[in-house]
Amino acid sequence: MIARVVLALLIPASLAFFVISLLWRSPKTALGIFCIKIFLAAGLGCGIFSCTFLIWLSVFGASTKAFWLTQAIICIVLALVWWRTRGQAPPPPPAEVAASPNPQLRFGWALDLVFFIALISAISAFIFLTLKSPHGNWDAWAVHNMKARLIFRAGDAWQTTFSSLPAWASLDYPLLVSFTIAGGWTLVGNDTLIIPGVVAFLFTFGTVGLLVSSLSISRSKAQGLLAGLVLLGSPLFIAQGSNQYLDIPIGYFFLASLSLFSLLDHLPDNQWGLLVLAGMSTGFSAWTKNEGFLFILAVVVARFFMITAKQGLKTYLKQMRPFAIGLGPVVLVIIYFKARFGAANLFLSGDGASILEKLLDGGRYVTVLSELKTQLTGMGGWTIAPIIVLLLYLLLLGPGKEWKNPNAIAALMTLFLMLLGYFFIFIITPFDLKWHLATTLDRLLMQLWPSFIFVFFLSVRTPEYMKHYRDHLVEQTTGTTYIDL
Amino acid sequence: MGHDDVTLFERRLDPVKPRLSDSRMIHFASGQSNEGRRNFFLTQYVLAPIVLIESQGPQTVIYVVPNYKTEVDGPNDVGYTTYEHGDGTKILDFHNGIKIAYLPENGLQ
Repeated sequence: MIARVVLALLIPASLAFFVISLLWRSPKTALGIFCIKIFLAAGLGCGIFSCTFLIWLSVFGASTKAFWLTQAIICIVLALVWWRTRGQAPPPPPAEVAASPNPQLRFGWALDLVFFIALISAISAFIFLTLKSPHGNWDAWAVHNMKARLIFRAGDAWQTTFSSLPAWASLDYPLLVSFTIAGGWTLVGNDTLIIPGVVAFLFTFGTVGLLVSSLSISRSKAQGLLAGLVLLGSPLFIAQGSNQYLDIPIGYFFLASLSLFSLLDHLPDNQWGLLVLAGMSTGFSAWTKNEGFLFILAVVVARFFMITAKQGLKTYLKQMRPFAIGLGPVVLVIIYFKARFGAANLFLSGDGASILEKLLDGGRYVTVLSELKTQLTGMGGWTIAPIIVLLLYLLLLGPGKEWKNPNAIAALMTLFLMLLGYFFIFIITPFDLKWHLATTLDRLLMQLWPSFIFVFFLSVRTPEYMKHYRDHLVEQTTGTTYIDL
Repeated sequence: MGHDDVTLFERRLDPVKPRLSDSRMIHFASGQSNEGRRNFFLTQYVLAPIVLIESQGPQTVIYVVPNYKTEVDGPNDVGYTTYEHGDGTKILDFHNGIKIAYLPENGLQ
């Protein structure tokens, strides 16, 4: 069975890796980019796989052997195309760019060691918690794992069974994770608890890997490791990951989109491919949870303002074309799913008068703001507020030049718009406000936490810069000039 | 692996599953307590792809045995026997193919 589990994960991830590699050409020697592609393949693989599995089930029914055979053939074809076109990859960056000041830190090894210990501790904690509660926590088993069982166990009758689910089953919830798990089970041949656990693991540690590798390329290795430490050091992140909550996968897709946008500045030859992948990732966030629709809107609006203001409307429209090519197919799958099964959204189905009444109720704003303040200061389940630690880091190192970069500002604006959106969702919630805040706010904020850490470390100077700057001060007499990292 | 309440609940329902394998949809009396509601979700998770229809309680269920052969001349009221289960369920058996179950407030456990 282990071999089948490995195959069930390897085929979708490999397929995604070759799609990513064909869209994003990079030099053979670029190890950092290779790492990002691997971490992207983990999540985007689940996204592509879940969409194709839904289409396959809808068109061909539960002929699972044929499905897996087709997946394997597509994967082999993509691998061959990638292998034959490897020569078309752009050359490595010119020597002067490659040799940009990125000095070795004296205690860099200590940072590597601390990160390694934190990673092993987090993995151990994750495995321990998963073994303790292999079905995940309430929302996992009651909603998306239950739906995965329903899709897998009902066989050809899955559509009829799915349609007959009553309203409590939240039929309008997107199903990226449910279809990924159900698809994995079809290859394994039974609904083993290993698959949902491994999917949760991929998204949790895929987020960490993506954060570290993308910052290592955009900024520096130390900056990437420090950001990874902040995320690994957030107990709530690991706990929610092992609880199999969807807030971790959606947070992964938010981070993937924002980091791909930020790479546009560092990899100018790969603009088209990076934007297609950013579009795919943004779409998959909406295929994971309904909050992803807000993210699509936030990305489009934030980039419209920032890119148009800094680089002009023409650049914005030029960038939105490949973004839409990546986003479009995923949105079509979601539209098909919603049209076929989707019930009315709970938040949007309330009557206008009731929503207006809530919007005009000042007390609701006070309640939401007060809870938001409490949650933000204790973000991630830290003993001390991580915001204070991050502020200290900012004071020590200062803001970097990326702070003025339109992609970094657009990312920050996207996160702000998301927070604003969540705020108003609570204001108009049809549920009891205090209960709703108590049960969901920490998870909603955890969706944004990895992206916030990314934007923060993207915008702050790096330890390598500080070392270079200090060395420069020492060597001032030689007339060396420093470059702002 | 897994000594959590979901695993334990699944184990409890293991012997029930084969008897429900032909059903596509069944009713679940959940009662009005939080525990009853949680049991409803747990049962749905365990029994999927059977779809559970939730009914609120406390409630009384009347059960009529199908194809029961009523004796034409026999007495139709021989009294009833009461069975009380540890979980609070009370069943009245009228010995004529009719049973009434009074379900506990927090649903069937």
